[in-house]
Amino acid sequence: MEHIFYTPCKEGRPVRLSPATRRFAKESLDGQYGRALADSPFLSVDDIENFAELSPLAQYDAAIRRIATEAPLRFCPSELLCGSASLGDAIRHVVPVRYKNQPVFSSVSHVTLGFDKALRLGLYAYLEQLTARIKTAADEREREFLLSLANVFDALRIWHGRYIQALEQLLQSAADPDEKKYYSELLENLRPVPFQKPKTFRQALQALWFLFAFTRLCGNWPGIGRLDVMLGCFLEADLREKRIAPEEARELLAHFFIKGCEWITLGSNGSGDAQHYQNIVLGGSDEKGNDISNSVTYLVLDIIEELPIGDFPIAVRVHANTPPQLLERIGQVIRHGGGIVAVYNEKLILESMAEFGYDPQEALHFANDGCWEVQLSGQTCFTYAALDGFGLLQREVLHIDAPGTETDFPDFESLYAAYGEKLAALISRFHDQADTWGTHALPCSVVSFFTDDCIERARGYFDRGARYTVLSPHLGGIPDAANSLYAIKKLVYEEKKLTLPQLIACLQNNWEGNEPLRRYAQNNYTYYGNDNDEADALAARITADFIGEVRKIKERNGVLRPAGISTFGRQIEWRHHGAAAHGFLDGDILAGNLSPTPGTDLAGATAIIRSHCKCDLSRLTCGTALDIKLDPSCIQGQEGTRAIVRLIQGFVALGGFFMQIDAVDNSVLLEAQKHPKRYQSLAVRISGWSARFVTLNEEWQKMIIERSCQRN
Amino acid sequence: MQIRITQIQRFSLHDGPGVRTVVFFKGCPLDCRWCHNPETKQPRPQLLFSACRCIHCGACVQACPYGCHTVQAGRHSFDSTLCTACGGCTAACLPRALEMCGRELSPHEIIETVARDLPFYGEDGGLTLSGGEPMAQPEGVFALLELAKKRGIGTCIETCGFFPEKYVQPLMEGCGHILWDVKDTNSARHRANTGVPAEPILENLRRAAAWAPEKITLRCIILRGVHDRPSYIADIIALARSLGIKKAQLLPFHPFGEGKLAALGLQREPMGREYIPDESILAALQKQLDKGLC
Repeated sequence: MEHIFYTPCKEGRPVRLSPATRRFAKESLDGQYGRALADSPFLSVDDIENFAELSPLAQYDAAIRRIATEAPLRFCPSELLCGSASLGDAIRHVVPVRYKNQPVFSSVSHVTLGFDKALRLGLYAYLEQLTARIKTAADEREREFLLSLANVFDALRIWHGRYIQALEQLLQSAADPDEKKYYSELLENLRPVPFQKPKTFRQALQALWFLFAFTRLCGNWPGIGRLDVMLGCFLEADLREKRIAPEEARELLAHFFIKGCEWITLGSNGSGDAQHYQNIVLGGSDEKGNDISNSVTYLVLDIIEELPIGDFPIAVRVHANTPPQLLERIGQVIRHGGGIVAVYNEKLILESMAEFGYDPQEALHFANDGCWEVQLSGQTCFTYAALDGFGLLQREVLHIDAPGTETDFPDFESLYAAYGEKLAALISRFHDQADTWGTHALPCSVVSFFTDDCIERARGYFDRGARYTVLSPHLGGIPDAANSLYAIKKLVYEEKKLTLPQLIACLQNNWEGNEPLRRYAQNNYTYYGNDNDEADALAARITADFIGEVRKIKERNGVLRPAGISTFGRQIEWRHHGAAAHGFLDGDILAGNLSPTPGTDLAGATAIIRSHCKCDLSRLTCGTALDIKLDPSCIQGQEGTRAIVRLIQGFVALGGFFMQIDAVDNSVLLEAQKHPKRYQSLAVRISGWSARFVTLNEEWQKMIIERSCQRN
Repeated sequence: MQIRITQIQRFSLHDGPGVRTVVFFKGCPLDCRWCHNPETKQPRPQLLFSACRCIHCGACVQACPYGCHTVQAGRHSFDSTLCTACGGCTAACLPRALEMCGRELSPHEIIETVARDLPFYGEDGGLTLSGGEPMAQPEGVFALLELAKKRGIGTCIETCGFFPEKYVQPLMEGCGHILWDVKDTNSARHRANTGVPAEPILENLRRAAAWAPEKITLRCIILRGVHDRPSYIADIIALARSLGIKKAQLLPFHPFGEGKLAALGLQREPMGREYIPDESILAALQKQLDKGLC
C-alpha cells in the first residue's frame, strides 16, 4: 500500500516520485538506517603502537586513515547515490574513533564547507595546490599541518577506492541485466568524482553527496550551502542536451535528500533527531540583481512538498526580482508543515554584510553555517556565544534571586539605564573573551581541507586558517526583558499600582498571593508582537543598544564579531530566572529568538511581523529568526498559499532578516504526544532546524505546543 | 463622526480575497438565530465576561451598583438584564475578565490601524467592513471607503443587504467587493429566522447587481435540515443567474456564537450542534453550486 506522509493540508501531498524512492524515504524516515548504525558506532585505535604518545595531529591523521580504511561500506537497496556516514558515534558530534573506549576528538559543526569549489575544480586541483604549498612550508609546524591535509586527500581516495571495488564486485555478481545496468550506472557516476570535475548532473550530485558523506563519516556536521548554484549549471546543461529528463533528475535529487536522513534513529534527543545543521540555501540574485534560481531550485521544492524531510532545512534568499512562481512554490510547500522552507531578506543581508566590512562581491555568495546564521561558506570558522538578556534583567538589575536586596529606581529611565549598563558590561566581557578565541588546537584537517584559506596560510580551521574567523555574540531573552520592562513601566511608574520593591517582592514569591495583579499584568497590556508601538519600542531599544555595544568592536585579534539574536532552546533553560513582571510564573517557557513571548501575541501574523521589524536589523549581520506558527485554517487551498506569500513579501518589505513559518494543528501535536507511533513523520520547526515532533523530549514538545498559533 | 465597532481583526483570510483587516461594526437590524457574532447585534456597548480569565475574586460584586454579578461556590454568574453598561465592574476586574464590548473610533483612527498592514495586502487584500451590519452606520461606511481609496487600500463589505435603497448605488460605486448574505430564499422562513422580510433585501440585491454583478459574491448560510438540500442550492443558482452574479459561497453553520452568548450573559437558547451540516453533503452542494454558476 502506498504510504501517505502527514500533512495538515486537506488535499494531501503530491505523489511524483517512484514507489521505490518513496519506500526508501519511508524507511529512512522511520529510522531504519539510523538505528542500524548502532551496530557500528566507532573504530578502535587501541592497536596503533604508541598512539597515546603521538602528537594530536598525528593521532587525528591516524584516526582519519583508520576511518577511511575500515569504516563499514553501506549500500541501501535501490539507492542512486553511493557513500554513507556509517559510524554511529558521528551522530554524537565526535570523530568516531575511540582509544581505550573513549572518543579521542570532538568534531566540528556550524560550518558549511567549500563543496561548491570542490565541485567546480575537482579534488585533483586541491592536490596540486597542496603539493605546491608543501614545498614552500616555512617550518615543521606548517609542513606537518599540510601533510595532515594531504592525509585527508589520501583518506578520501582510499574510501572512494573501497566503494569502487565493492561496486565492481557487485556488478560482477549481478544476476540479471537490470541489476547489471543498475551497478554499472552507479560505478560510472562514482568512478571519476569527486577527484575530477563532474561532467553531468548525476556526477555532480554524486560528488557532492560523497564529499558530504565523507566529512560526516569523520564526525563533522556540515551544512550544504547553495545547492541550486552548485548543481544548477549541470542540470540545465543535461536538460538542454536531453541527457536527462526532469523526472529522472527529481528521483536523483530525492535520493540526496533521503540519504541525508541516514542518521535518523527516531530516538528522543531533547531538541530532536534532525539537528545536524544540514541547511541548504536556495535562490538569490547575481551581481546585476537578476534572479539565479534554476531547475534545481524548483526540484528541491517538489521533493520537500512530497517528502516531509526536514533534515535539510531550506532557506530561500528572497529579493526584489524573486519570480512570483518561486514565491508561490515556497508558499505551497510551507503549507505542508514542518517549517522546512524559510526565507532570508537578501537585500537587508547584503547591505548589512557590506556595512560590516565584507567585500560586497564576496558577500553576494553568502549562505549560512548549516543553521540560519549568515556567513560566507567555505571560508569561515564560525561559532557564537550565547548571552542571556532576560537573566541579566532578572538577576543583575531586579535581583529576583536575592530577596532582601534593596532595589529601587526613581523612574523608568534610571531602571532602563541600569539594564543598559549591565548589558554594556556583558558585551565588554564578551569582547575580551573573544580576543583569545579560535586559537585552540583541536585537529580538524577534514574541515580545514575544505575551508579557504587553510592551505595558503598552512593553518587549521580553528587556528586562524580560515579567511574569516567569526565569533558572534547572540543575545537571547530580548522579548521577555522588553515585556517585563514594559509591565514595570506601566504598573509602577505610570499607573503607580505598587512600588518597584513591592513588585519585586511579588516576583520573588512567584506571584503567590497576588494572582489578581499577575492576571492584570498579563491581560491588561499589549505586549511585543501585537504592533503596539509603545511595547515594541522597548524591544527595538534593547536590540539597538545591544548592537551598538557589539559594534564598538567589529574585529579585533583576527576575530570578527557580527551581532546576532537567538535562543535555540535556551528559552527552556532560562525559564527558571524567576517570575516575570509581565505575568509569567517561574518555569513558564520564554520567547524564542526575537519572536513574541508565548501567549502574548494576539493580533495575528501581520502584527507579529510588524512588531519584529520595528527592531532595526540592518546591522545585525549574523541575523536573527522570526518564528510564525499558522493554524491549518490559514493555509488551505490557493488562498492559503497566497496568504503565506503575502506574509513573506510583507516581511521583506518591512526589513525582517529571516523568517520560518510552520503550519501545525496543536490538537494534532497533543495527539502525537499520546500516540507517537502514528505521527513519526510529523515534523515541526524548532529554530534553524526542523525536527520530528515525537523525537523531542517533553520540555521541547511543550515549547512547540505553547508557541502561539496564529489563526484568522 | 464616530463609528461604533467591536473590534478590528488583522490577518483575516476568509472575509474577502487575500489578506485583510476586518472592522466589525456594532449594531444590526437583523436578529438571525444562528448569529455567530451576537455581541455585534446591539449598537450600545455591552459587557462581555470571559470565564477563562475569571479568578472568582468577587471584586465585580463589590463594584456593581445594580447587583448584576454574583459569585457562589466558586462560580461567577452575570445577569445582563440588570446591566446598564456603567463600566464600574470592568474597572474593578484586575484580570480583565470583564470588558466593555463596543467603542467609538473616528474613521481616521480606524484607517490608521488598517493601513499598518499595507505591506501585506498586495493587489487583492485590504479592508473588509463587517459586523453586525456596517450599513446600519452608512456615514461611517462611506467615510472609510473614501479614506481607504485615498490610501490605496482595497475594499470589501459583508452586508445582509437590509438598508435604505438610496445607499445601493454609492456602495456599488465605492466598494471593491460585496459579500452579500443570503439568509434564505424562502420568505416565511427568512422572517421567522432573522426577524425581517426577505423582499427588501432581494430588491436591494437586484439593484446592486444591475450596477456591478461582478463585484458581488453571495454568501449563503447552510443549516442542517433547513438548507442542506439540492433544491435549495438550485434556488440560489436561479437567483444568482437571474442577476448575472457568478460567485457564491456556502457558509456552514457553526456553533461558535454559543460561547459569546454566555459571555454576554444573554438568556437565549443557542442553536444546537444538530444544525451543523454534514461535511460530505456540504462538499456536494458546493460542487453543485460551482457547476451551476460557471
